[in-house]
Amino acid sequence: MVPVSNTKYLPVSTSPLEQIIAACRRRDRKAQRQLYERFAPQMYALCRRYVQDEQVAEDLVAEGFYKALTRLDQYDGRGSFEGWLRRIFVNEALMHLRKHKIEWQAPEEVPDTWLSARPAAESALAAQEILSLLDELPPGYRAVFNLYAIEGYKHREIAELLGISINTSKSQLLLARKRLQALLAQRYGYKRDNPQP
Amino acid sequence: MTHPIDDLFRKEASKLHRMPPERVWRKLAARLDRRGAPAVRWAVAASLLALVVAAGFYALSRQRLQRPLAQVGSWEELATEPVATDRSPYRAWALYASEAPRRAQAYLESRRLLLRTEAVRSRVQVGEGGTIRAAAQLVGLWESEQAVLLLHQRGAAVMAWIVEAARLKPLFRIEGNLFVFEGTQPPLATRLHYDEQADGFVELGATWMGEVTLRFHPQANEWQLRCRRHTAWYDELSKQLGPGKLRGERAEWRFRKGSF
Repeated sequence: MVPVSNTKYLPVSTSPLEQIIAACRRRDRKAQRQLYERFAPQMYALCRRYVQDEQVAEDLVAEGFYKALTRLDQYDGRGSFEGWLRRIFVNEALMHLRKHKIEWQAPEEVPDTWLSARPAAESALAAQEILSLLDELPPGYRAVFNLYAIEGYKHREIAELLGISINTSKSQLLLARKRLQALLAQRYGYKRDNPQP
Repeated sequence: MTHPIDDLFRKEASKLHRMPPERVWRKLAARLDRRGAPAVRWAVAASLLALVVAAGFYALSRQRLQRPLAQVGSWEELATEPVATDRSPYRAWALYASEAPRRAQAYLESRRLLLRTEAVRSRVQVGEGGTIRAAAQLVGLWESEQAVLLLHQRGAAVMAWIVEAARLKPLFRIEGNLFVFEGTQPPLATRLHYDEQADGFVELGATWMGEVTLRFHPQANEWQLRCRRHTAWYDELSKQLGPGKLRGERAEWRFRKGSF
């Protein structure tokens, strides 16, 4: 008896996420809910980092998921789904900020000592406190800091996304860091290191 | 080398997860339900198109590009000092609230009121005992109970109001010749241009909700409709008008004048 390979009869291996996405494309409400529950906590936190108002962050989450769920065909499955989703939410947040005209703070002198600081209280800082610190920043600082430090965008990309110059992006980042370090020093005993001459 | 502050926040931000309240899902599900209903979808598409077409027809039929939206009533020399300042325009307008709302009357009656109000506002600028020369112009009619009034000194808009039957709302902000109505979120804007010959303002186009703009290009004799891509507006418009010419984040359609 000749053994028959059953390879071709095996079902295509798909991860649970791929199955959920496929079902969402068929507008399966249960799958849409699953997808939402899986990613809403990250996306809500992302939106909340850009906007201080909880209500606005909720609206951004609803809008972002609506766009994602109605445009799933545009996700070709090659990159990370979460990365694709994050871009949608970052765009939503930026669109909101653009509509509410950010006031860009004028560049000012930033002492080098601030830029070389080390976070002495790093381990003591909880994730939740990150939000409270970001909330202290003006919208312009916060947007640029989020995009550069957390999302990993380059200044050139940030300048395009926000319709500002590269220099403005750089200065907002420096000012954001300076403000955050001051806040860390004030709240958590964050220490500054003076650079070696 | 990354900055220590960046490292700290990146590391902690990745741990930050918060489930939004249940109402967010309910809102999203309701919106997805609405999208799923083909009849509703077509109704939305049809009404959106009707809005665009109506705006085009409205502007074209009134030939607003060639002449003022409404004639300037008359110029008035207003002494600034004698104007009473203790009357709220809202209270004054309430006098008319009991009457049936009629646009023409709203315009005529409010004109005097506007001039008085503006005279008060301009006093600081022109100095005690000075005069300003001002006129009110009807620049738009919204629905049957609202009129948009613009007060200007020759060539320069100084104040715009939306007039409702019961009150005057100073809801406009003026940036150059762009009038931004702040009663909507995002604001709705109308672009006006001062026509020296006609001695009044003419409308050059409109922006809806910050997403769709309609402008007329007199030299090309064309209307230009532009819309941000990746918006519900674009989804609906492209169904009716085709994908349009794609330019970066925007799509564009052009129509010959009168071809709507």
